[in-house]
Amino acid sequence: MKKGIQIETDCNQCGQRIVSCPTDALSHNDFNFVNKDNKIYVINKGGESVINNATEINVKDILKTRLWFYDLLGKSFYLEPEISRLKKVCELKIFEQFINNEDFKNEGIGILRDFFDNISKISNEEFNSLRKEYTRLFIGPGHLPAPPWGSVYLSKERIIFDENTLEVRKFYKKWGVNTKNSNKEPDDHIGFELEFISILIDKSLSELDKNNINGFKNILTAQIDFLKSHILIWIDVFSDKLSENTEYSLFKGLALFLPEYLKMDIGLLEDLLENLENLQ
Amino acid sequence: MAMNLKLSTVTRRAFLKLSALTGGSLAISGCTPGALDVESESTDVNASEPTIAVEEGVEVIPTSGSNNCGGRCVIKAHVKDDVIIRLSTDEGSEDEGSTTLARACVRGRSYRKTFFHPDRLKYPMKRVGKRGEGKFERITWEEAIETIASETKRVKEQYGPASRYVHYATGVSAAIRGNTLANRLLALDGGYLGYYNTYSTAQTSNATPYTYGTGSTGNTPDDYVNSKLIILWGHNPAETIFGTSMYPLRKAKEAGVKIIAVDPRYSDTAIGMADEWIPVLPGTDNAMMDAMAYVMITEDLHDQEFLDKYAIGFDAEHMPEGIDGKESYKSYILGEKDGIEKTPEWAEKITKVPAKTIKKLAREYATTKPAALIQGWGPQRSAYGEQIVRGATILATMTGNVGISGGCASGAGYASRISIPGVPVPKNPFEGSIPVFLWTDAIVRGSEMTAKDGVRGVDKLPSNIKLIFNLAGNALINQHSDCNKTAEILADESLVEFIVVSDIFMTPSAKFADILLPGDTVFERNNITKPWGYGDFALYANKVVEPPFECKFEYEWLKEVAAKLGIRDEFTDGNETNEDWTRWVVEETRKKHFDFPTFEEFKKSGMHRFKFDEPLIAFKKQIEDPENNPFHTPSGKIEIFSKRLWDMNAPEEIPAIPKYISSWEGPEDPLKEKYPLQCIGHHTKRRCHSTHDNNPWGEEVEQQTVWMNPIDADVRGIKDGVLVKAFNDRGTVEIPAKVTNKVMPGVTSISQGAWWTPNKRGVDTRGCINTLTTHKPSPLAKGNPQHTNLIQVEKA
Ligand code: SF4
Repeated sequence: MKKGIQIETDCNQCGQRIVSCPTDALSHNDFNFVNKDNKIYVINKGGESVINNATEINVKDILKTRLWFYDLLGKSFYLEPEISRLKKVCELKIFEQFINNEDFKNEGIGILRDFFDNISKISNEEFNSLRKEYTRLFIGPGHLPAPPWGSVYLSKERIIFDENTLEVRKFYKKWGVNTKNSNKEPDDHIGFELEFISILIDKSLSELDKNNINGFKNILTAQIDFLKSHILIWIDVFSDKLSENTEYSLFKGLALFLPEYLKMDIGLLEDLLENLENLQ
Repeated sequence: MAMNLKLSTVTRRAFLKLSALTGGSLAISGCTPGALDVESESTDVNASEPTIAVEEGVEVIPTSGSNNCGGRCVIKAHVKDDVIIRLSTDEGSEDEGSTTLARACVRGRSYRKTFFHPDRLKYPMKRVGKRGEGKFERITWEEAIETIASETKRVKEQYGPASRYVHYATGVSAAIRGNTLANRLLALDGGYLGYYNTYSTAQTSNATPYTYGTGSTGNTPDDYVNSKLIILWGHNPAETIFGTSMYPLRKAKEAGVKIIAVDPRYSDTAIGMADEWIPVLPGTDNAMMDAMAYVMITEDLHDQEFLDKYAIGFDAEHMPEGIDGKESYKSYILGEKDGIEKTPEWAEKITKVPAKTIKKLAREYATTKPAALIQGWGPQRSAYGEQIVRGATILATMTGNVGISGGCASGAGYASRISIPGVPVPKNPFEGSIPVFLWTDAIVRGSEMTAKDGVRGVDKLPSNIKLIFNLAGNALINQHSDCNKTAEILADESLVEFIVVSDIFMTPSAKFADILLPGDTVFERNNITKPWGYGDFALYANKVVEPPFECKFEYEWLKEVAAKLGIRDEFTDGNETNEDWTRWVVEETRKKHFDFPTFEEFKKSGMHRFKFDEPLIAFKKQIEDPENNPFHTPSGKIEIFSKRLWDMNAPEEIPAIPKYISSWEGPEDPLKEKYPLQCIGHHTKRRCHSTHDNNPWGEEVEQQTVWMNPIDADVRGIKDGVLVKAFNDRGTVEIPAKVTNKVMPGVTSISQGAWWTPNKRGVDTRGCINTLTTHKPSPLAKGNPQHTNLIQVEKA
């Protein structure tokens, strides 16, 4: 499919026209939406199919959207803020779209929406201080108010590198994933755990491509498993600590959004699994 | 394929709508954080169980504590998949020897907690705010090394090699340690300002040799059991840890040896071991000792024969040539010159020890033979600590307890019979050195400092200190005196121009770094350790895991600095790694200890226990065969009167015989009107100096508080546990009070080592004793008087 197609769609809630997707973002996609005559069409390699006003949704779209979220969240916790990355998020107006939804109310969304809305206006100075805040929160050298590693919340000693770290490592290994620097950086960094989910999503996408429903199901189940047994058990404490200890809307917003998003995502995965029978 | 999903529930509707709106448009840039690797050979996704097995094996690797308690314990790391999942310790049986048991204490059991703390320093940093403000920015190792090398060069060119100083540091107390490595580097690069003394033993290590010619005055602890009476004078091995002396002490107790503890505080040692506790006001020990001598002399309980044979200066008949008999110790005790008889009643007023108790103790000590008066190092860390040390050596001599089994010569009490070398430091091309406690003086007025200030090796320092390496140490602020004043000196960037700190946490000292480097811990490097003198073993501290993040042992980056200075080969001398150096240490050790294991054996077992048939008795030869074995003093005798001290001509503060000197900020100082309480800083079992302070479990072991007696608390309306402020002109700490009979009236105690944490008002909210201590040194040793403080305590 051609690069550079712009997607326009109407917001379901307010009816506003939404223009999204920067050109280069499409390069990875093998499918896309178009909005024609108030109907959303998915364009696949194999042609077009119509989705009935968002009551029927392409599973791949769901997965791609999830992938995007996990990517955003993972990077936000593991990498220092980078202006071009943030600006891309802004252009997509994701949180704008979320906020207009009655069904998912979360304080973090508004905060993130406002943050990303203003990102183009951010001064160098403000951006520097955002980077410093990232360093303060996740790098040091002082006391980390909300350490981003699971074992700090789960181990008896509240330390980095513990049996919990190994459990996470083991889970990764099951799926052929290794932490690049596992003897230097604990595997259970929240950023890595979110990245791991995004790898699983990627894997599930390729199983879909192969029409392998069984494999696809297993990967979905693994995601639920990992989320429940390794992330959800500490994420609330982490996000409470984080939101209490930062005044920066990016991090406050992420802290408030993350656990709710993950919980919703588990529900979504469970729905997906339940509905796999209905897939044609 | 086009898989569409019919919605059966509405719970995730919002997200689904969002997916519908955006799904195809969302592409991620790059792949995720990129911290994970996906194996190219993909796993079998159809298998509901994993296809890659994870090894279950756990390996046990011996390593060792290397912070500066007096012990060095066996720490065994149980390692699974490069992660330490558990620790265990020495399983040696008690029969293996009373001085070789190396079982970890409460600190060792929580090493994982301390050393894998999420607050570890992780990356090199450079200062971005004002010095001391604590603002840093992450940099690369390359930048850090480049900056250190160029500053080291610049300062040498601008101010001379002697303006460069490697500060006292004991965070890594082992054969290979950052501070000696930095000295090695600077010695090869033209020199540095050296120091002598330690923060532990300045007064005793200087004063003891005036009596005996050496500080090695202790019998090894396996001799405790041969005593009939042990007096622990300001000695608290249960909390401080002195090698492995607690076990022999228990053996002695079990054998029926009476143990008496003299201490202002009812220490854990006193609680666990002593038959009797005698509280004495800090700094007044000599008044009590003088009165004990008075009792012995007037009741003729002293060993005159021993004194006549081995000592000089006790009485008028045995004075060095040309010294008046009135200058003798006996004459002083009897008040022949100053008109004051040093009676127990006189001492009672000063020391608050009842005359009755002093008499009883004097009689007991003089008549129970053999008896060991063992001094700790606490009392000597005071304004006139030199007197306390010498006073006890004289009592030991008067009772004839020198050089015999079951006795103790007292004084510094070093008693090492094993020798394990550290990485050698070549001769420093600059020969001058300062007493370590005066390093802050050397920053402010170094070029004015002379012998009067304790400068040795040169007449005068050529410059002030301009560059400091502070590697694995917290004496840059916390463990030095007067934190507020020290901070002010360091904050002035026109004084010291460059400070490198390497540590594992953002300590109060680390805050003052210009370049801040992430160090490693005991689990992350190879090293060799041995306990302080009182322990007959050596440990191989194996590297167990890689240093996390970008942490590095100091050697790793010092090598690179050396390369930039063009002296890398000389610096490493062929030893590329720590393991190369540990090999060297083992080889050197085997030259002296023929039964020492080979490198491979030692590394594997992790421990070598030295075997000795009998205890080491200090001065045994000198006592058994004095003709052929004189003491290493100018007279060849035990010098109760020291001509060397006499010649210093400062009798008020440096008397030729030990005397009670009424101390500034002591119980007789008029300053007591304003600051009525004495304050000392005991060692606590929860920390090794300042290491482990950030382990919150420590707070459960012993909360950071100011100890005060109910009598002092009541008049101030202070209840146990309430927040109080303890202050003097130098600073204020705000911590809870511990109202307890375990400290005598008039005395407060704040355990040393808490991390100085000033708030906006400059009040230290953590309770670092050094917020209250002074830079004023003791007269002879120029040592730190950290237990000499007057303070007031009020409700906060
Ligand atoms: S702190 Fe000292 S006594 Fe305690 S375990 Fe470590 S080395 Fe042993």
